[in-house]
Amino acid sequence: MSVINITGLGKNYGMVPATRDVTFSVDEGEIVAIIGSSGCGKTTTLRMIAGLESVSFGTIAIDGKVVAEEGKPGVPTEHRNIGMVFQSYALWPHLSVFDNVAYPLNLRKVPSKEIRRRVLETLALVGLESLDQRYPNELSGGQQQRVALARCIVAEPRVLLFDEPLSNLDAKRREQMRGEIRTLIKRINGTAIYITHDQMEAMTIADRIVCMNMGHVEQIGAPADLYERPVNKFVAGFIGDCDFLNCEVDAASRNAILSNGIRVPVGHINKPDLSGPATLCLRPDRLEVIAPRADPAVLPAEIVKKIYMGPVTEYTLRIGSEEIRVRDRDHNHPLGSAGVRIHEGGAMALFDQ
Amino acid sequence: MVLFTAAMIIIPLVAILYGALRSDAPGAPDATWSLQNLLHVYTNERYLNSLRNTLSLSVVVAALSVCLGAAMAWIVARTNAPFRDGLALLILIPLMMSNLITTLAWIALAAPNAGFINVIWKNLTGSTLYDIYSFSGMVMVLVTDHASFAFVAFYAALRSLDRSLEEASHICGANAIRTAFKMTLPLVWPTVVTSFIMIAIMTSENFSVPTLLGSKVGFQTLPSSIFIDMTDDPSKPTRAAAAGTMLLWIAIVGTWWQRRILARSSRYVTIGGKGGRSQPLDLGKWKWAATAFLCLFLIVAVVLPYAALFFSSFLKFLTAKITLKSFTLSNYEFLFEKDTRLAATNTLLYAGVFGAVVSVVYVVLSYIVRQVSNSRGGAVVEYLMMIPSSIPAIVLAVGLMWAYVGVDLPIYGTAFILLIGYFVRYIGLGVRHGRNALSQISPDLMEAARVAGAGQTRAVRDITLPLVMPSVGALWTLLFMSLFTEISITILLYSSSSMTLPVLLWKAMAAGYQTEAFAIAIVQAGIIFALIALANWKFGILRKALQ
Repeated sequence: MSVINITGLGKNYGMVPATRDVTFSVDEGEIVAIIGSSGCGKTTTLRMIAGLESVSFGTIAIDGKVVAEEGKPGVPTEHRNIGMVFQSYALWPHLSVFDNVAYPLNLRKVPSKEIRRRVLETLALVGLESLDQRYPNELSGGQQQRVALARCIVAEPRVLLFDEPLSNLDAKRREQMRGEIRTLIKRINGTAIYITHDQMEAMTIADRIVCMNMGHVEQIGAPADLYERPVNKFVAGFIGDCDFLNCEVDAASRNAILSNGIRVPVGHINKPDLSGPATLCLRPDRLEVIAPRADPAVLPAEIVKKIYMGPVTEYTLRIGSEEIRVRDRDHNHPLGSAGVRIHEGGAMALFDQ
Repeated sequence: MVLFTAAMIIIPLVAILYGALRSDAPGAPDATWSLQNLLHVYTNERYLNSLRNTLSLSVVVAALSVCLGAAMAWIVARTNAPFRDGLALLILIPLMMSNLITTLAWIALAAPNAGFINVIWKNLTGSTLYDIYSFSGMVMVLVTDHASFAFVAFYAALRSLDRSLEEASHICGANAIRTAFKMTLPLVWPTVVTSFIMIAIMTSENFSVPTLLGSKVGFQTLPSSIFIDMTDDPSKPTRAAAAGTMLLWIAIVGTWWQRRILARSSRYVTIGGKGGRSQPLDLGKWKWAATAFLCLFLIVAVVLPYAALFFSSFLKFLTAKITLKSFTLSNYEFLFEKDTRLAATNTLLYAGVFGAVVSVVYVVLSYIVRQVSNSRGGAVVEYLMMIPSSIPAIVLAVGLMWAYVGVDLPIYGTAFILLIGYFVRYIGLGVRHGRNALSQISPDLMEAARVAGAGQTRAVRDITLPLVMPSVGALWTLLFMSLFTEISITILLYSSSSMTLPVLLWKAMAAGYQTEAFAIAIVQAGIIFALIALANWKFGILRKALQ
C-alpha cells in the first residue's frame, strides 16, 4: 500500500504559481526520484511534503493520514516522522558527529544506552565508525554527507527525503555515493523521495521517476519507461540525449516521413493511432554510421564534423537542412557522405500535446 | 519592542529641533518659539569659527589616517614583511581603546612642562621637544586612533580583491609600482573615500580630544562649544541645541555622501568577492624596513603613551624635576574612597550588566528586523536602526536632555537617562553586528532540527541560541569597552548618584589633579587590555576583525 499519497498538490508564491496539480504516490520500500531542471518546482514539492512550506492546493497524506491540505495549517514538520538530507547537509556545527546523529533520538526520548547503541550502529552502516567524536568542520565533504545520511535514517522515520544530496560532491565521489545510497535505503527498507536534476543519478537510485517541468508533472514511470517511451519532447530530451527532426507521421505504416521525403521506421509513438506533423527524436547512442548505400532502412546523410571522445567518436551529420549526432565505436569514417542505420529504440515519434 | 526602539530613536532627534527653536531653557516660564538661537549660531563668529575648526581638524585627521592605515594594510596584506600577521593584531589595539584614555596618555607623554619626553629632553637640551596642547597634538592623538580604523577597512578591501586582476596586469607587462597605482588603487578607491568620510565624521563629533587639548590654546570645535554652552554658568541649552543642528548637518551630509559612493561602487563587483591567496610581494631587504614601520607605529601609538601614563600615575603631581620623593601610591589610594567606589560600581554595572542585556536586545532586534525586512514597514525600521550611528554623541545627549528634563518620570537626573542614551547610541553597531551573526546561521540548520522532530522553541534553544551565543559575547565585549570609557553622553547627563569612572577622571583633570586622573586611566586601560586579551582568547575578536 502507498505510504505517501500526493493529490493535486500546488503552491503559489503570491500570485505566481510555483507548482500545480502534482499527483503521485510512493509505496512501502519504494524510492521515487523527482527530476527536473532548476526552478521546476521539485524542491518546493519536497519542502511541502516535509512541512517546511505551506500547501496552496491539494493534499499530502502519510500512511493514509492527511498531514497537509489546502487552507489548513497541517501537521507541523516535527510530528510528521520524517528524515531529510539537505543539499547543504545542514549539520549543526556546534555538535559532534555523535550528537548530530543522536539528536532525533534524543527528541524521541529514547533511553541513552539505546541511543548510544543505535548511533554507533548507524554510523557503522554509513562507514563512519571511528569519527563519532569529530566536529562537522573536521570532516571532508563526503564524510559530512554520510553524517547527514546517518542523521536522516537513525530514528527509522516513516519517510526519507533527499534534497539534491550529492550536488556538492565531485563527480567521482558522486558516482560512488549513488550506488551506496540506494543500497542503504533498500537495506533498511526505507520509503524515500529523492530530488535531483541529474538524470543518471535518478535512474541509478530510483525505482520510479517523476519528471517535472515548469511546475507540473510531465511523466511518471520506471526509468526504462521514461527513456524508452517518453510522452513528449521534454521528457525525451531530459532523460537521455536526443536530437530532434521535424517529420510527418504515417500511423498505418508506423513511419516518420522527413521533409526530404525519406521514410524512417519508428519504434515508439506517444499517440500510436494519429497521423500528422510530429517530432522525430533520435538517440545518438542507438544510431550507427555506415558507408552510404541505397537501402530504404538507411538514412542518407553527410558527416560534417567528428569529435574523438575515447570509447566513441561523435559524428555530426547533416540530413537535409537539419543536423543530428551519432556516437559510434568506429572512429574511422571520413567526412563526407555516409549513411545512418537506426537500431532498436533509436527513433521515436512524438506529437505535441 | 520595535516600536519602543523607534520611539527611543526619534524622541531625542525631535527634541533637539524643538530645543533649537525655543527662546529659553526647558521649563523656563516665559519660553516661546523663536528663530533667534538658530540665527545666532549660524551667523556668530564664535560658532562659525568652531565649524571651521571642526572641518579642518576632521579633514586633516581623516587624510593622514587614511594614508597611514592604507600603508600599514598594504604591508600586512600584500608584502612579505616579517611578523606582519602578529603585528596586525596589535595594530587593532588603538581601535578598542577610548580616545579619552589615549588623550590622557599623551598628556602624560608630551605635556609641555612635565610630559615624559619633554622632561627628558629638557634635561638634555633645556628646551621643549613637543607640545601636545596644539593643533598638531590633537591631530597626532586622533590619527593614532583612527589609523587603526582605516587599517581594518583597507586590509579587508585588499584581502577580498581578486588577485588575478593584479596578476593579469603583471602579465600584460606592468611592473609592481605601475600595477599598484593603475590597478590596485582604483579598485580600492571606494574604500579610500568611504573610510575618509567615516573618519572625518568620527573626528567631527569627537569631544574629549579638542576639549582636553584644544581649550588651552583657544581652539574650539563644535562639540567642545556645545559642551561649554551646556556646562558653563549660566548654561545655554538653546544655543547648544542650535549648535547641535549644525554638527548634525556634517554627519548627515557625510553619511549621505558615503552611502552614495557605496551604492555607486557596487559596480566594482570584484570587491567583496573571495580573493585567493597568492605570492606576497617580495620587498627584498626593504622587508625589515616595512616591519620597522609597523613597530614604529605601535611604539608611538601605544607603547610610549601608555608607558608614560603608567609612570606618571605614580607621581604626586606633574613636575619637571623628578626625584625619588616625587613618587607616591596615593593616586591609587584615591580609588578606594567612597565616591570612587560608587563610580566604579556604576561603571561596571552599566558596562557589564547593562551591556550584556542590550547585547541580547540588539541581537533579538536584528532578528525581528530580519524577519520583517521584506515588508514595506521593515525597510523603514531597518533604516531607522542605522540612524543613531550617525548622530554625534554629544548632540544625542543634548537631545535627551531636552526630551526628558521636564517629563514627570524618574528619568532625567537618574541612571535611566544614561541607559537610554547608551541604548540609542550603540543600536546601529549592535543591530549590524547581530545581523551579521544571524546571517551566518543558515535556515537549513533550523529546518534540519524541525525535521529531526524538534518544535520551534526547542529548535531555537538547541540550535540557534548556541550558535548565536559567541556573537552575543563578542558584541558584549565591544559594548563593554565602549561603555566602560563613555564620556560624551555621560558628561552631560550624569548625576551624583549615576557618576562613572570617566566622569570622575574628567573632573580630576578639570580640577588639576592630573596624576589622580592618570591612575583612573591606568586602571581603566588595564581592565580593557585584560578584556581584549580574554575576549580574543575566547571569541577571537581581534582575528575576526581582520577577516
